[in-house]
Amino acid sequence: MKDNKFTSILILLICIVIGLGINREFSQIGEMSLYVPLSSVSSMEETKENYESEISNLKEMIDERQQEILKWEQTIEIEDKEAVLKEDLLKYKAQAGYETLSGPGIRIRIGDKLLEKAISGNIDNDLIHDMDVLNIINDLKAAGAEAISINGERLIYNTGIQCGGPVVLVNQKSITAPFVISAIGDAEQLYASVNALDTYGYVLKNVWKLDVETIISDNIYIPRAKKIIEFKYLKPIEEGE
Amino acid sequence: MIFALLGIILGIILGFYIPVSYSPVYSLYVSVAILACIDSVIGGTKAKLNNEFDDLIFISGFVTNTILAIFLSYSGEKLGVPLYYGAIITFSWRMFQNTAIIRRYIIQKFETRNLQRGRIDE
Amino acid sequence: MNKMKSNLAMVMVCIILGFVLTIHFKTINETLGDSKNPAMRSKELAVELESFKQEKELLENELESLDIKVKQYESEASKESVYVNELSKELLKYRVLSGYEALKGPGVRITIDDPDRDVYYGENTSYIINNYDYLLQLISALNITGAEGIAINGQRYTSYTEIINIGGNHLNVNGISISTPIVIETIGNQENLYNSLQMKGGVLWNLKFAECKVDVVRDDNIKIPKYNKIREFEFATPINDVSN
Repeated sequence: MKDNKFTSILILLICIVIGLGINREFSQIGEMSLYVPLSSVSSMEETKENYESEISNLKEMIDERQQEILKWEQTIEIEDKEAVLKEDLLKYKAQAGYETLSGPGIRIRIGDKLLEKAISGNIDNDLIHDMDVLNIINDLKAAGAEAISINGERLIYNTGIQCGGPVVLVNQKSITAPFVISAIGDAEQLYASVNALDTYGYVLKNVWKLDVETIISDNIYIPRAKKIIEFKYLKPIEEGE
Repeated sequence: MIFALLGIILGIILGFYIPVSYSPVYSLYVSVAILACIDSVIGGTKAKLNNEFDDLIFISGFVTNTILAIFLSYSGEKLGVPLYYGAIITFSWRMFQNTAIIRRYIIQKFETRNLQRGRIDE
Repeated sequence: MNKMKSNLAMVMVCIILGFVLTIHFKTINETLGDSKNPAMRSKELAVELESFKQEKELLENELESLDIKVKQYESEASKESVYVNELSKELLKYRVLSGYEALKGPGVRITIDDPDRDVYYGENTSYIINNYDYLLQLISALNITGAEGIAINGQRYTSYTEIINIGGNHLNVNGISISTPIVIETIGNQENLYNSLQMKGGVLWNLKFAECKVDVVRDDNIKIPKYNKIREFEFATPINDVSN
């Protein structure tokens, strides 16, 4: 008899707790019961990093503009204004690639395969393709190259590189193997971007056995771009548009 | 059983001091593997109490279950079907079942001890 | 002896269990930070992202108004002297060439997306991102066809722009991470651009062959944003040689 009463009361208490729990659940529906996978959290973290980069870039540019405005405010005579403009002009000219530069960096020489026998049956694999040059140049840029030239042709924003049969066309000029790519920047980083394990340059040299030689130098010379560009289609956007 | 507890504590301490970590990308696999681990341990404890423990079966079960669980989650991801649910349901079910058996065993032992004491007192 | 052996097996497995559990929790805590679970963390992040977005807008507006001020100074000076006027024009040209001017004009917009397949949690399955060198080839092809300006997912393509894949399902362009779909906008001769992109054996043809979704659209009013990063030469110095 006692046992029955005891168990009944126990069951009653448990049911009361369950009832309270259900009540709470229903009143909190839609709150935080959604399953959020860890991957969406990491992609939000990425977006956050993006914003942080962009914001710091913007702050730098704002500083630069404020410096410029200061310079303008200090100009009185027309000569001062000419000087300010000239300074700006040289700066953007250099950034655009129209100034000859020199500095520490590397020089890469890429030639077609050295060995007599083909590594694979396909002769294509023994030649250098535009994709190879494009990848190496991309890696150099990622390693912070400040200026790049290939066989004496300066690389600018609209330089196109394509295969034209046995030659490679850069800026519509045809150049032949061996290809000499020069780059100015942090020599060690540049060297690593083309020679470290698993880089495109490494694979080109050690797997496809193409002739790839990199030298480091304190005095790399990179000529200016000579292409005269006329804008036929674009217009700068006026402020406020 | 005490050894089991000591083992877990030792493992936790090791985990704090050894600087190993893995990419959160694999967190699903590790979670399922942990479930498989816990299931093996509880299953092993139950077998011990029943005096049925065979260390070869225990270790092989542990290894196979973990590999199978990871394999299921991985292929499930590739196929787009949440196969890992199967692992979770199975392991959880077995965990509850084995824990119930352990609990019954302990309570029975407790009750027989009480009964024995009761008889001796008389 | 058997008892020892059986105890040993149990203890080993338990040690492994404790170890893996702790590492698991450590990793999860690293990802979550202070929050207790991913849902809370994503809420926190959503709030942070909102405030970052507003800060970015404020800064962009400030930059624009400063830009207008500088241009005003320049144009006023231009009215005073023909030489200054010429200098201003040259300056504008080089600003465009180095990517520091926003552009508009007729051109095409290319959209590339992965083939239809369910996206998985944590997998690096994007075809286009794993083969990003197709994008390098595409940009080179556009340049050869006379593209006067190019932007990838809103990032201006300059002579310094790199495209790299450092893991995860995204690419880094100009230091900003972007992911599929990849949208490339370019200004130039619409017919030439459109036709050269349709070429058999070209990059877009190869991508279509791999079942990627490729779309090329002509647009008379393509807008390309300016490059927003300051670049300064740390290693290179200009030299005055005869050709300058």
